[in-house]
Amino acid sequence: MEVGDTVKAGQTVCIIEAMKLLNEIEADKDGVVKAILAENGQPVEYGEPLLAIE
Amino acid sequence: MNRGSTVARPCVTSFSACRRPATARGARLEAFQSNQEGALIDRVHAAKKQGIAYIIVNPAGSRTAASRCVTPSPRSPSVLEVHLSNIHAREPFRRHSYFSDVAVGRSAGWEAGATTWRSTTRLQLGAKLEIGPGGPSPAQGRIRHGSAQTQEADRPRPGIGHRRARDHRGRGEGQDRQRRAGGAGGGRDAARAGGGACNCRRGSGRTSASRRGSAKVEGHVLKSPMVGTFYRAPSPGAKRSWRWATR
Repeated sequence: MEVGDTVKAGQTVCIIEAMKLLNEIEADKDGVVKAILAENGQPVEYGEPLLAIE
Repeated sequence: MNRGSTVARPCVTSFSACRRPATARGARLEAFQSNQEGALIDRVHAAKKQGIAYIIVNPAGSRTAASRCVTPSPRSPSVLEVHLSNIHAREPFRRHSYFSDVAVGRSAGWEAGATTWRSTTRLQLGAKLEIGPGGPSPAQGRIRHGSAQTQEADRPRPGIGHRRARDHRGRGEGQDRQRRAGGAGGGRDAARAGGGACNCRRGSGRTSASRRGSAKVEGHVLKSPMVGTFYRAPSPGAKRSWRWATR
């Protein structure tokens, strides 16, 4: 996933690993990825912004 | 929670050792011991609901599932790990603890006499009282704890197990004994344990999270539905220009 990629709603955009499970995170909206807000391989909290889609 | 094979004695000893520093600081202390991992998991979950601030655990066998219940979330209690023996001077399977990456600190060795339990309790509660009763968010507490407090725990202080500390860290007989026990690689591992290994993943993770959260972004924002580790790949096999983070 890179900035500028086009995504469709329901498309898997990234992965969050929790308790050794790789959870696929789907886009909830069509659009273009404007920014990736989380750092790769870093822990994220519930509700933390991951991607900006426009 | 306590060692399975020798249930009663260490549990009673450690509880009574913890009680005085705990009550002196106005904290309530509860003990729990089980040989069933399921029971330990239930207890950890209950602790989250009860709003328990700290867990001091002797995770004999370094229980896998119970440790995974303490994922880094603001509601989880902070964990401090106490091992009776110096696990790094023992068999290889004992050297890795599944608790260490969720614990705010750890002490191993000194045969965990009453002194260790007592000073552990004192340090834990000392940290808590600095934040204040019912004080700011648990997140703040954790950061404090991860930096200053654990370092203090590592340093042997006069009056608290000082003589034993020299046995383990110094040149003398203590180190020889450890080397014999640990075999070839034992020396380095023992030294690390003597210095008090601690992993402060939760603290550092949180600082970077709060830093990121401050950025203002336009457009629709996709938010994380869970606590976990973020990866930019849409699938584990996807083509990528970066590497998976290693722990």
